[in-house]
Amino acid sequence: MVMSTDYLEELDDTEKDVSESHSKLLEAVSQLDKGQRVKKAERSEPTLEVSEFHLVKSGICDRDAVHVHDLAKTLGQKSHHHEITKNLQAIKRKIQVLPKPLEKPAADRIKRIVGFKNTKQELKKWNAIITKNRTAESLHFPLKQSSIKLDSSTEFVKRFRLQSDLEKELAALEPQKDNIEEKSDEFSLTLKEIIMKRKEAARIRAQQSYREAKAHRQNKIKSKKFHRVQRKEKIKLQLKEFEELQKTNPEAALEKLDQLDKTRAEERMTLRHKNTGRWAKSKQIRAKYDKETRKELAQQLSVGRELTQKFKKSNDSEEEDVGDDTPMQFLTSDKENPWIGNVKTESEIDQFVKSYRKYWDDQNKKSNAKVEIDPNKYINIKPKHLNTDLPIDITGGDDVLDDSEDEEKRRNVVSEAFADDDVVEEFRKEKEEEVKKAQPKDIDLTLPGWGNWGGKNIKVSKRKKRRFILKMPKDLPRRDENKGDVIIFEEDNPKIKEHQVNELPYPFSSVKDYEASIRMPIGRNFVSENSHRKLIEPSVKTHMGKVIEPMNEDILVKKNDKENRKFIPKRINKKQKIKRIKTIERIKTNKQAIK
Amino acid sequence: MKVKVLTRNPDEYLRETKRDIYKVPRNYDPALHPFESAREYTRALNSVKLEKLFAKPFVGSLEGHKDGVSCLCKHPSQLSTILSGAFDGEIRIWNLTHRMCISNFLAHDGIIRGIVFSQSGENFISVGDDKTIKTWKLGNSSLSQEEPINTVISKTIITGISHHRTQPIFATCGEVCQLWEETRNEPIQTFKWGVDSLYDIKYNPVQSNLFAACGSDRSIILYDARETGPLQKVFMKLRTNKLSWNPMEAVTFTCANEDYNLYTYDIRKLKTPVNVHMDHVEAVIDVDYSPTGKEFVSGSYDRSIRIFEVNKGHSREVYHTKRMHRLTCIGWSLDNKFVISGSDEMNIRLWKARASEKLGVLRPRERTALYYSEALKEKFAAHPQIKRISRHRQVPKYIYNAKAELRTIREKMNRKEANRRAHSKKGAVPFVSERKKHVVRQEV
Repeated sequence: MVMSTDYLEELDDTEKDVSESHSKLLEAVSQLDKGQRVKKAERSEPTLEVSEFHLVKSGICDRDAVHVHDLAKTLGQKSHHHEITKNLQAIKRKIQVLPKPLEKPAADRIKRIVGFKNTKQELKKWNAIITKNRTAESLHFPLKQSSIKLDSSTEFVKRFRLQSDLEKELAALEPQKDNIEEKSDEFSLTLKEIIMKRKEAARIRAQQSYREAKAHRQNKIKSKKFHRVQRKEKIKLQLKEFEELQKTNPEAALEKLDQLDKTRAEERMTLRHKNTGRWAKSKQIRAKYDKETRKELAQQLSVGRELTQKFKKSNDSEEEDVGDDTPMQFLTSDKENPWIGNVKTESEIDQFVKSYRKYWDDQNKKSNAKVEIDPNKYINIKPKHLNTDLPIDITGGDDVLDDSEDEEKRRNVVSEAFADDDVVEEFRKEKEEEVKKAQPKDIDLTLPGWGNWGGKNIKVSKRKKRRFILKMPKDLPRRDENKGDVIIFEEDNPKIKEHQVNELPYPFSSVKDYEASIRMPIGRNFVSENSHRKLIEPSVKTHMGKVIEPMNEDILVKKNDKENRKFIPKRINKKQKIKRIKTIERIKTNKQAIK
Repeated sequence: MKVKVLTRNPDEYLRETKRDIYKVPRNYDPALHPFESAREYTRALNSVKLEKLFAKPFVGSLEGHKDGVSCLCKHPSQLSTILSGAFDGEIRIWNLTHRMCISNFLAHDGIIRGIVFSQSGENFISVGDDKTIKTWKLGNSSLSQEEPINTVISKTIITGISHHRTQPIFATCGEVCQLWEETRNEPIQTFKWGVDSLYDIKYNPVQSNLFAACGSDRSIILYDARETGPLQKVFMKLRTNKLSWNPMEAVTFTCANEDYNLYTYDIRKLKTPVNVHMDHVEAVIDVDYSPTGKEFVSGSYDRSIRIFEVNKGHSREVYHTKRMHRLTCIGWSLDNKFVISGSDEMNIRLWKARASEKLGVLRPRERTALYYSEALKEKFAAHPQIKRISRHRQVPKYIYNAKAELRTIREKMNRKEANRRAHSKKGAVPFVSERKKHVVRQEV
């Protein structure tokens, strides 16, 4: 029994084991079926780290979990909860799955592309300085890089200078002018005065703008007649004013006269009415056939003449019919008129001209004293082509010889010195020789004894002559044929040729430019010291023993020079203002006078 | 005969004392000074001959290393101080004015790959084949360099180093590109863009957040140190050995290539180089810009140093000596006057940057005379005799022969291409410019 009970117990145990393991197996199998082996994450301890391994796989459903739609269900279809359920449904519809992140290589590539683009953008800041340095004529290293640091307080204080005792005393003795003017400014205007002033200013401005508009309008009118009438009227008006002024305020009139004088001087200086401009030239072509253009040109000239005339005559235009001599006498005798000074009478001028002509004729007679020169004995060369060390003025100047006697003496000396030399003949011979040398000679290709008897005194047959002697054309044209006393060597000189450039060097685009660049000297013998120094400046200058640091970003900062800092625009005080206004007005009146 | 003469009061033009300086009146009338261009041409010819006469570029050699010189480093502010590292791990500090070695010490176990000064110039950092980055203090005696201030052991092999110009940051290259802060023992950033190893790295001195590196896969990579990291990459036909940034232009750098040429790039357009500089007859090992940014110097495996102008395709100068072997490193002094070269045969050599330049003080008249002769040479540069004399250089036989050989090879290739073009369909064999020939592709 004991045995049986034991056995039973044993059996019972084994059965239990089996059943347990069986149930486990079943469970495992059943779980296999679901295909969800990933366990839900469980938080065993509080942690701040958020890891991807703690995230729940989206497929795992948790029956116990409370979802939003469950909550929404409880709300039901009650009217006051209707809005919330609607919203929830809308959200549910909108939910999307995030896209899969890019593969690492692709992401890196995008990062690199963007990074390079940014770098390129950043490098743009250097472009200006790089191009400047590349194209600079000359660079001086180390490059002067402005420092962006501020001045220290001691340096700042240094800019203010203490006055010495002497200066203080002087300042006390002689108060500065600016101070006085500032004091006069101190009396401030009352409100009324300010308003008045403003009104006045506004009025003046309005008038000015009106006048400007009017002038603009009138300037646009194309009618020539209108302008002519206008001009005449203006002149008349001015004359009238001038006369009035003469009576009332002679000093002002004198000033005006001065202005007119000035316009006259200006006119004399310019080529404006001299018919030399493009317009006049184009007209002149037509003037031969067209009467009107001729008229226009004449008018231009007359304008010039009018303006360049001495003002005095036009001034006394009303008294013209009296005669030419009388006003002059009147003018000279009239000593009360201060604006008509010492003017020479016409008779005086005539006398001067006569005496001068006489003097001139005498001079010419003297210099025209006959000199006998045998033209064959001397070569006539234009001094322009003479490339001697001596300048033209010394060798061929006419003024050296004053008297015919001196000249004769000199001639004798020269002829004595060159008695044996027949320069011209020698030159002629030389040229003949050169011409002969340059002529190509016949080439004899006959071989003695070939096809004939050889030996002395044997005639070459005609046939052979015809066939084997190459005949060259006679009297080839030469460049110096009709040039007289010139020999032109037409063949290249090999000695010179090896020094000559046969290809246009790189930066030049035309031979002319290159030749010009070679022709321009740079030495101190040929150009002034300053330009010489500029021309020979090396493209890169460095100093021995001075470290040249690489470029840094300071160079991109705009320089803030001390000079710039010192510059403060001057305040204009009243007196200067008035002066300026006056000058402006004067200029305006001048312009009107010219018109 | 009467001769009229201008008379002047001698008091007006003679001076009483030596210090009275009068302006001597001079007549510049061209009639008085004929044959200007002819006379100036003669002067130009004379000055170009004199230039050849005075061309003695070799200043001196610094001996002392017991193995080939692997790298050189210029002090940022002292012109007389340079550092050199050797293949046996020794660093030497030199004083150039006295041509003396100030101190020498064994810094690394293995080849020294690079030395840079920190921005202040008080310390310098060296990297070697033993994977360490060591910071040293610059002192006057060997005692001060017994121990480095700081040693960082890197996880990867380091082959190059470059320092930021103003900040205490430096970049190293090797298996990866790393940014370091001077005070930290860990790299602050690591950049990797699919390359097995990088050979050289250089910070841009102007736009100082940029740097470039050249890799063993024939690429040149442009980096932005701030956040993006690598920006662009360009592959060439052969490997780039070293590169150097233009210190006056933020956008330009020149690289020394294995295919005997140097290439100047604009980083805004990496697709094609701006200029191809030819003349070396073997691989170019190192390149360095002049501080003016107008020229650069290159050292090559063909035992010669060449100086190029940035915008020219061929060199203006070639330096060589019988005893100088393969160049390993080169530098241009910061006052634009000297070139320093280190070579395989353990010597460092000092050259003048302009072969015929006079060293020492120049009187003003002498200086203007020299300027004048320079200007004349430039003016008449196109004349055949002047061009011939100024261009002529005596080169060693092996360079001369190699050049001739290269010329024939190039001619052969051109001929072949022309033949192919002539016998194929129109447009099938396109014309490719020399600049585009050497670039394989650009990658972003």
